[in-house]
Amino acid sequence: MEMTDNLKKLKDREKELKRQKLKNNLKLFFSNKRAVFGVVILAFFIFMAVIGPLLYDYDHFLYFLGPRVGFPTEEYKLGFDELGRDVLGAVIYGTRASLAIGIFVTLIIVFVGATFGIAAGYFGGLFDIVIMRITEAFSIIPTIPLILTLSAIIGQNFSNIILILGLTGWPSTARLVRSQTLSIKQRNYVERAKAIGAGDIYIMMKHILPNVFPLIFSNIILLVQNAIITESTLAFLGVGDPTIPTWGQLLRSAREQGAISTGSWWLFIPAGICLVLLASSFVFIGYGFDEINNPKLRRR
Amino acid sequence: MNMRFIINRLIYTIFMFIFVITLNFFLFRLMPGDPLTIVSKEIASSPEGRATMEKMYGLDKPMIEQYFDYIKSMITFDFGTSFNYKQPVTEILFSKIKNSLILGFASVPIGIVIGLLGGIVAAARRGKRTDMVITTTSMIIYAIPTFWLAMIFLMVFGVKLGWVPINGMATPGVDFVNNIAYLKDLFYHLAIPVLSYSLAIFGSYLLIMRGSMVDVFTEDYVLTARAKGLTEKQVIRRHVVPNAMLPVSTMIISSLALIFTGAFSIEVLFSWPGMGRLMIESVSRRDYPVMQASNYLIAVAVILANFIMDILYSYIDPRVRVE
Amino acid sequence: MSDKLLEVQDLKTYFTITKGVVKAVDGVSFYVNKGESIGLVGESGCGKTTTALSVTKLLPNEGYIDSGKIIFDGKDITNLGDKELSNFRWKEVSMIFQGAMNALNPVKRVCDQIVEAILLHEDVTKKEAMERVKELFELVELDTNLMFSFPHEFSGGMRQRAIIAMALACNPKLIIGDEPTTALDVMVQAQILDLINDLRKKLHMSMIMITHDLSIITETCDRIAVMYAGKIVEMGNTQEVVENCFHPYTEKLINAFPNIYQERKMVDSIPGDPPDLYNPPKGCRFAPRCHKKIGDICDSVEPTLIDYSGKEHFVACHLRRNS
Repeated sequence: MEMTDNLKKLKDREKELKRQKLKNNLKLFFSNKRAVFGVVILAFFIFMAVIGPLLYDYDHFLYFLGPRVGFPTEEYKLGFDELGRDVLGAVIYGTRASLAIGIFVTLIIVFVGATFGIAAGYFGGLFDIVIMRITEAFSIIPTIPLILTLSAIIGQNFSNIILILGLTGWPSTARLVRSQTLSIKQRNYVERAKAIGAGDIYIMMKHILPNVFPLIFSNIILLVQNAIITESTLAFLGVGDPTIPTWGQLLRSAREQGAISTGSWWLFIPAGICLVLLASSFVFIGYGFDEINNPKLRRR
Repeated sequence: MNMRFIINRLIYTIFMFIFVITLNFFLFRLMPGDPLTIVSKEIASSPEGRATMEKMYGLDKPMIEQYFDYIKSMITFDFGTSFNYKQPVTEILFSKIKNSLILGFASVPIGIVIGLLGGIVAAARRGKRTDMVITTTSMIIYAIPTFWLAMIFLMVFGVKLGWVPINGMATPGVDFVNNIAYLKDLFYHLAIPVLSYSLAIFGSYLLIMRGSMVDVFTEDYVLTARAKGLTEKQVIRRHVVPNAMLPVSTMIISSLALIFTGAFSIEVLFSWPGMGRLMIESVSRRDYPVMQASNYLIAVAVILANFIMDILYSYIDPRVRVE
Repeated sequence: MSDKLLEVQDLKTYFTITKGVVKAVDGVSFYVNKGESIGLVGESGCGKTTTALSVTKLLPNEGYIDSGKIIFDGKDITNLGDKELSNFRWKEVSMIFQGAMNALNPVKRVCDQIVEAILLHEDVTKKEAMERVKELFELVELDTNLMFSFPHEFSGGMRQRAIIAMALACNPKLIIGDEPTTALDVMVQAQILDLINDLRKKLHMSMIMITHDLSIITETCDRIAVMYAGKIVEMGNTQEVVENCFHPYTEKLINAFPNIYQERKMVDSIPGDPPDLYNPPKGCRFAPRCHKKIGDICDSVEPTLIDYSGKEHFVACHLRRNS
């Protein structure tokens, strides 16, 4: 029938256009040298997180392999921490912790934030007001004391930390998603969907969500970076799971052992460099996406 | 000025305030650890001692009563005595806040100003090499954890080069001959913390200012300004920057409010006797009076700052004034 | 002493993009006499705005004048230095941009923005400039009490009047309007066009009116230039061209506008797409879409603008050559 033929042609054309757009965006992204550099570094760390433990044996509970706060040796290239543990191993294994935290915290933040944001933006009214007040309340409370208090309450193991970071970090994402939802809500296809009787959940899932996502993509990448750095700061301040090595903890123990005064650089320089590189890679990639979404940032 | 707007904001602020201190109340009740034991292990171990202490701290009263007592004491700034220091909390808070303010007001304005200027320059030369260098550098600085950068500075400038002392706010045990000597000593102690703190702030300001400026550059009124015959510098100064500053101004008030919070990792690293370090200490030592009081003060500072920010913003952005 | 205020000779304005050069304006020549108005009409992307921006030197960074001459009031302004450019803009030629809704800075008062333009070019005090703003407001039929308002407090039509007032502030000899009424509703459009007509006659100003709406040109312009793909294809007295158009494109353009007096029929559209200016076709650029193509000559040789009738009615078409 003619109708379905035309419909099919339209859908094919739409798919073709989407493919073109994706290709163009990818081309644009990869022409941004900074972003590419970020991707390379990220790939390196992912590799280290996955392959590292296979190639290098490290047991976080093996103490006294060498002298406490000991100098690097042939075999233990980065020396020993305050419990005589192998620092190089801790650095390598720390990659997994950092990436895990980055990913899982961000997942929580995006899930909670996007849900609240879309609901608030779409339904409006009382819903919107209530959600926005809660969001503002959360963003008013300074996060670090809140996290410290919460961690004192529910304990400092790895999953709790991820939970806490996630539950204290969603407000800004909710706000962003809400404002994007508000502008998408006005668009034609949403009105049309409503006119033909589409249910709210359907509209939210099929129309609003897919259109909000590309806009918050760069924000999501920056969330990962934020989570990783926040965790390291918390670990430095004493909040962390002692059974799982993270770079932040290495830095804390380095300081507690007076590594600065004794100049024992191996205790804190490598871990810090890893943090900087990994975090920078996310910042570069995140801003790379930003430049795709907002072409004004590219041109002169 | 629009009174309705102000009153609206005021009511909202009061609600926020009540919400936050209520949250604080319950959070602290949930923390593990027995506060009585912390105050005095001996007394708390005997049943009579416990009963006496409970009466003294009002812990024997029903929750609702405790809540209202709490609200009353917070509003009257009656914070009690620190478990740890055995001194009135108010005194402790005052001295610590003073130190945080010194560090904060020395660092934050510098960071903000340099960040904004950098953002303006990078935006003015967007797409060119200067922009690339400035932006990439600030991205990296933004990504660096503050305390790590501070550690490196400490090691290089404090230990290896010996130019500055490595911790504290003043050289211990020294009696200063006069104010000049004191200030000189303070300056040396401030140097690296200020450097670290301002670097920590400037990255995000630069990036956000640059983004905001670039957005404004594409607006029609900038083209009009050029068409009128203004030089590029004049266009930037008179038309681009004022508009680009709008979203940034809210950030500035936030940053200034956070000075009261104290910069946690920097204060801990440098053993700077400020609010930040106090809060962290009090959490780990379960010093409830101090924890309660400091959280309360910070909430007040931030909520107040938000209120001021709302009012101020309506002054600087005429579009907001109407409603 | 020549009657010509503006003379554009063989202007070529190109844009550099990543894959090469886009020839937005490729050999355009026209003139505007003193006190006369000429309409530049054509499809989107034909180069009308670029031509205007070239005259006022407001091209974006990627744009540049490759060759050609622009002579204003007897003076060659093609390669004007920055300082002279500053003086030239707005005082000699002012512009009303497309979508002028946003041509006013939202955080500055309307009067201040106009005063800025005046103070830049005239040697007067601020008070005198304010007086002038009052006069201008009266000229464009705006309530002078609204002088101190902010742009967002004006409606679309009011903003447009304010922008016209600003464009007239320094008594320019030439005013260029780039789709000044496109964003307005028809009623307001009619008012604004009347206003522009009145002002022109009163102030003896020349005008270039850029639009894709033929009806506006017939109402306000003495002469008309039809542009297609970066070139002028027909130019002459408006009445003459509309009644006796020579170029097939002009013919299609005129027929594309429904005529109240004609019988009701479907409006003709022009099939196909405008050519890619990155890689323009050889020969006549309209040839691929032309319904009156006469043969190979149209595809291989570019026609030049020639006045066949002697009545200053220029056309670039091989069709005419033969008749």
